[in-house]
Amino acid sequence: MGLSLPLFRKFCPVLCSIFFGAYPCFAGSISGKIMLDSTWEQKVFLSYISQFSDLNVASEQFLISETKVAENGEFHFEDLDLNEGWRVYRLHCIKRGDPISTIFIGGREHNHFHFLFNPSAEASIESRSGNKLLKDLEEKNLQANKSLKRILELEEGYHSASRGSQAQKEIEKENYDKNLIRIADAAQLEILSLWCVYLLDPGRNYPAHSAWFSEFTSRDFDLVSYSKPIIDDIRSRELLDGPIENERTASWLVVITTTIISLGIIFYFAMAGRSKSKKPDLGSLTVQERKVFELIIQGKSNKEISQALHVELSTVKSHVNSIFGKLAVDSRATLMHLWLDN
Amino acid sequence: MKISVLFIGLLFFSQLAIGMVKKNYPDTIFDLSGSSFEKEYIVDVDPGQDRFGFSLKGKITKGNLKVDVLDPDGNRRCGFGLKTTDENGKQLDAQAKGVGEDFYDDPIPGKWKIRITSSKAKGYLKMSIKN
Repeated sequence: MGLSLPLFRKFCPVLCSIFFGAYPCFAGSISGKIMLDSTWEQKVFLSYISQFSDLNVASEQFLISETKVAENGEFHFEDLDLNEGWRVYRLHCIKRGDPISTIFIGGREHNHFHFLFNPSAEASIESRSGNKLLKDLEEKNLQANKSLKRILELEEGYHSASRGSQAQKEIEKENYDKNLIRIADAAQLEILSLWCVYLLDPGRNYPAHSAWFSEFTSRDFDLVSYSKPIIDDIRSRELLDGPIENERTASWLVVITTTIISLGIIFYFAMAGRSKSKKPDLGSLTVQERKVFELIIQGKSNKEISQALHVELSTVKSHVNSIFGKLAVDSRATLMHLWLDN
Repeated sequence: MKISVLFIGLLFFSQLAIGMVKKNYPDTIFDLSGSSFEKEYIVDVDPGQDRFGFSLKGKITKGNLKVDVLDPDGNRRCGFGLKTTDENGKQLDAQAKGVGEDFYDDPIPGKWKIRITSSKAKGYLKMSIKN
């Protein structure tokens, strides 16, 4: 009469706590059945997803274990060294030749499945439809995943129905948000509440539910890696949306200051332009440049100037460029105006 | 000479005619050279359009890459992230690949956005729009 394995696993943490006072890590087990055709590696990878923003991120740093898939499709992860409490995990497979960190989203090659797991429980993952698509996987043992499934179905339903008139869309959105808030308030597991708030997207929807979001931040959370980004997001929105009057005053001050500075810059350049046009510094020209200058204002072309001064055409062009530079003009017409004004 | 001008003209006007009949979004390949940037690629979906789809494929060997598809209401509809460096910027001994595909019947009309955020990502991203 020995203890059965599941019973042993159940009481192991308790026994450890009696003898050692604490049990920081748990040995969990996850098993299941998955049918993979020959285009797939016959392996299953397990990743720990420590924050919701990483749900669709592929990275080697999330991987915690891998196991082979038997010929009958069965796989088993055991003696997993996992953190306490309900957390998010991802199971994924890869196509032959692909890197281990590969994520396929949508389509027939969707290659992963997210689920909640607590190492003192036992998870069983199988396809719900019996076909080979990984997006049909389902965790069958744990109530937490049944609740998660309902939340994800709610999300899917909202997105697939988001057509129609603007008024219809607003009603759908309101109902969707209300349902998420209701589940977040009622959920017994912290991770489910947090998942709902993540889907509510405080960054975009803070104004619609500001009071509820503010109340949410006052709660105590054990799962800091999941809750902190959400609470930070809500608090940043509180800061942005809080002192509306001050913000408006500040924005008016910015507009007025920018206008004054812009007008000042325009005035400065206008005055600088006028002073330049009033006082052309002809004294800065060399003797040869003065000769060229005089011929330019007589309306002579570069070729005519080269013939008149018995110099190469390239030399004339060089003098003309030098004159333009010294007198800060960019054309013969401007040069002519400059001369006429003086 | 005349024949080649005629040929080029014919080619130009035929492309113009095709473009007038159907919006053309050719496959785009972003060569990610290790720089950091954020780009938004806009795809117009007309009212009454019965189908819209996209396929995004990325593979990187360095840095991090994030691709998000947002519908005209601003909802994130698809996307993936690839990380080959950890939070401290340390390079992991790995490459990462991501594929995001989706098709919509009777899609929301308006401007759909494909937002690409590269943080020193090195690799490529291929984008196909089925419009």
